[in-house]
Amino acid sequence: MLKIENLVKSYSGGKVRAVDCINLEVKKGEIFGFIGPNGAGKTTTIKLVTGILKPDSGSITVDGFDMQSRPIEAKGRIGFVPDTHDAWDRLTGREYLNFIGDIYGVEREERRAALEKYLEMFEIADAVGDQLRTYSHGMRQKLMLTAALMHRPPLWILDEPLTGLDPRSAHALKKEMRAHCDGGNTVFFSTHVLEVAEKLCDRVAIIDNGRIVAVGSLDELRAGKVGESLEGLFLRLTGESDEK
Amino acid sequence: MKNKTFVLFKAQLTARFALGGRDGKRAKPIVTAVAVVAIAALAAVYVGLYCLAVDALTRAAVAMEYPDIAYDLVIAAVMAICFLFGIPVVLSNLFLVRDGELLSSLPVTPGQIFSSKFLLVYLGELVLTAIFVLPATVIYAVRVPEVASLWFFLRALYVTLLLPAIPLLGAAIVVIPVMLIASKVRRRELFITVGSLLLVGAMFILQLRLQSMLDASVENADLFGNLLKNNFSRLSAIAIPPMSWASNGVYGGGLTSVMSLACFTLAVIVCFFAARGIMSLIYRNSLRSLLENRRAARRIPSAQAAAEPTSPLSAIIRREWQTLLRSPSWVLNGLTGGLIALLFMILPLFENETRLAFVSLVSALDPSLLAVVLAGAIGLLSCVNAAASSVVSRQGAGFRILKSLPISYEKICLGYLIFGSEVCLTWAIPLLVGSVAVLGLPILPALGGTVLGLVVSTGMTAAMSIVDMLRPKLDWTNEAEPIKQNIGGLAGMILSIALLAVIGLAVYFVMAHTTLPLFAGYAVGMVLGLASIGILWPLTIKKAAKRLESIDC
Repeated sequence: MLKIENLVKSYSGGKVRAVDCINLEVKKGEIFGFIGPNGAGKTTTIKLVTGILKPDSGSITVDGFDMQSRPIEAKGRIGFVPDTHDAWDRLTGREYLNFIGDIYGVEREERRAALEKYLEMFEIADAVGDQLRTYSHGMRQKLMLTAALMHRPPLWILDEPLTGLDPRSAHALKKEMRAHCDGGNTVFFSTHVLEVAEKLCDRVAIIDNGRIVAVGSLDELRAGKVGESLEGLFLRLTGESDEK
Repeated sequence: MKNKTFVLFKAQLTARFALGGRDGKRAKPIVTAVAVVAIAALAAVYVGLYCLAVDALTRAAVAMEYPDIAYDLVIAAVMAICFLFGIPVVLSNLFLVRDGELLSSLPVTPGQIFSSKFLLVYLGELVLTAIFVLPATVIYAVRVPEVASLWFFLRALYVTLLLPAIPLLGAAIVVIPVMLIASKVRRRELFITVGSLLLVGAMFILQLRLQSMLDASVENADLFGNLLKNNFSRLSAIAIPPMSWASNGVYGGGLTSVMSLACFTLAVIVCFFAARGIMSLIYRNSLRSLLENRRAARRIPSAQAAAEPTSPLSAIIRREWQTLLRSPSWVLNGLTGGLIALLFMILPLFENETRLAFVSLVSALDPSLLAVVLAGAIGLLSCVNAAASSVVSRQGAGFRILKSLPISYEKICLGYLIFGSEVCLTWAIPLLVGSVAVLGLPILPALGGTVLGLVVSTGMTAAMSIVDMLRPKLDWTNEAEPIKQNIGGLAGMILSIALLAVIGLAVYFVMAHTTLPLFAGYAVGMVLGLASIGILWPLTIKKAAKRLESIDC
């Protein structure tokens, strides 16, 4: 579903390598966790995968479509939930959702059904007539989740999706992530909450200093160290990387 | 311990102009150099034209043995501009800010917040003031050589530095009632927008009404002469003393000059502390009321939240209108042309004699000439189409979301250009209706002029938007910044003025210097307008799409 090959992205004229030759393959029907310390390159990688940033080199393929040569088709298969939502504050929730629906070409009935389901699920139906600037962080997050799911994307990408969500909504989101995968789709998300990654993910990748330091299922990553938690693994791997 | 006002001011200045260092995204030096040279050259042309006008005015005043009045007029015009345009600037920078929440939480007084924000606004207006006053000072010194001395220039510099203070403080005080009422009403942003528009309109009409009353009392038909000889200085001295103190402080002799400067300085200090005192009482509450989250009265059932689908291009255009019309800052700055058009069409209703003179002039002119004049008026207002000149910058952080969506950059740019052209309708329609209903323009030339004006404006929209599309200012803390502190937007406006000038000169040449019928001038304008669309739109879309794709955000 998602294939990343030799991906490189630098800032400050090449002085800072935010993403340093990443290779990754996310299969159809899996929940893939992308974890790493602050500033490791998670958000930059996600921005590259969603077409917000242009890579210096390397390629990204979404459902068979190359992000560089076929960006519209590739982006059309992604539902993206960014980490910050301070955008287009003057639109109401309803206007924002319909704008996204129009861009993705979601038909009226499909749109109606999706909104009915997700607005109720995330408990933001009451606020949908208000401007986004009046929303709390959690409410904006829920609106972004609804917008990202409206067109039933084969690849759902979420950047720190649980930040700011109340426990009930966080639970509903985790359930929906699993349900989305069970429907034959794929979920790729970054998180700091290692317990969530441990419980939810089929596979994880750990990124540090722009490089993937480990990738695989938890059992594969533990590599025989029975009982080691993801936290211990994370600290061990990122600590090793820092020492290097 | 550091002065908190200064600390706040420094932090805001650093944040606004990224003085703490850029984010590593630097343009190629050659591109920057070319842009700087182009902007400087165009700016020099317009400053040159302004200087020519001021010089002509000063020479006329010298010939009438009232040389000081030309300088008085410049000072009065600058203060009036600072005041009228200061109202939206003060609103945007003092109240409709994104850092209000942060500043409200800090252990600083409302007076300190006000002072720091006011200083920031003041700096911006100071540049505008200097552009108008300093050339006029030099021209005055050349035409009236007996006053030219180091002391004269030092006084002029001092007055220039203080000149924006009183009109800006006046604007701040005028805005206070709007903010006080706004904090009590439900749809406060709509109220602020409409209230501010009405306020600016009322000030404008009041000023012209006063002027028309003044004219009526003069028996002599020589309006300009009478204004210069009898009324202007007297009126300004009585009605707006700081205005005469400022100009007397520069060109007055000996004790008059010193006294005037002292009075002017005292007036600035008094106004500042009066505004600061009032703001200390109301500022925090006004800011808080704007930060409060008001909920919509009506709950929309989830199923009804889905609207009728539309094309991605229409969605882009519709979203631009939705965001523009909801922001008081963007309405006040972006739709200025519409307000000016409306005022100019309402104005003759207050002055029957002027209106009748216009009607008789209109009836004597060729229809093609009338159409071209109306098109020119529409084109002139399109030169201040800030909604188009800041179309990408206004996206701010939202541009990142747009980049993740499955829509081509070409289509986004096309949507922006269509939106920018649609904005021109907000002044084209009032001018069309007003020219027919108020000035008695026949329907056919009025429609022809409107069509020509819109065609030219559509071409100008590309010239207006291209710089912002290539170099948008996406990081900002208040909604006025992407419009008011956007060099790209200013450069776009200059480019569009240049395009209008080229088309205007070609039309003028055909109408005035050839034996062709006057309609040929109209036809030339139309052909050039269509050609500008045919050339500039594809070029802008191609260049901008490529650039927008490569922007890191």
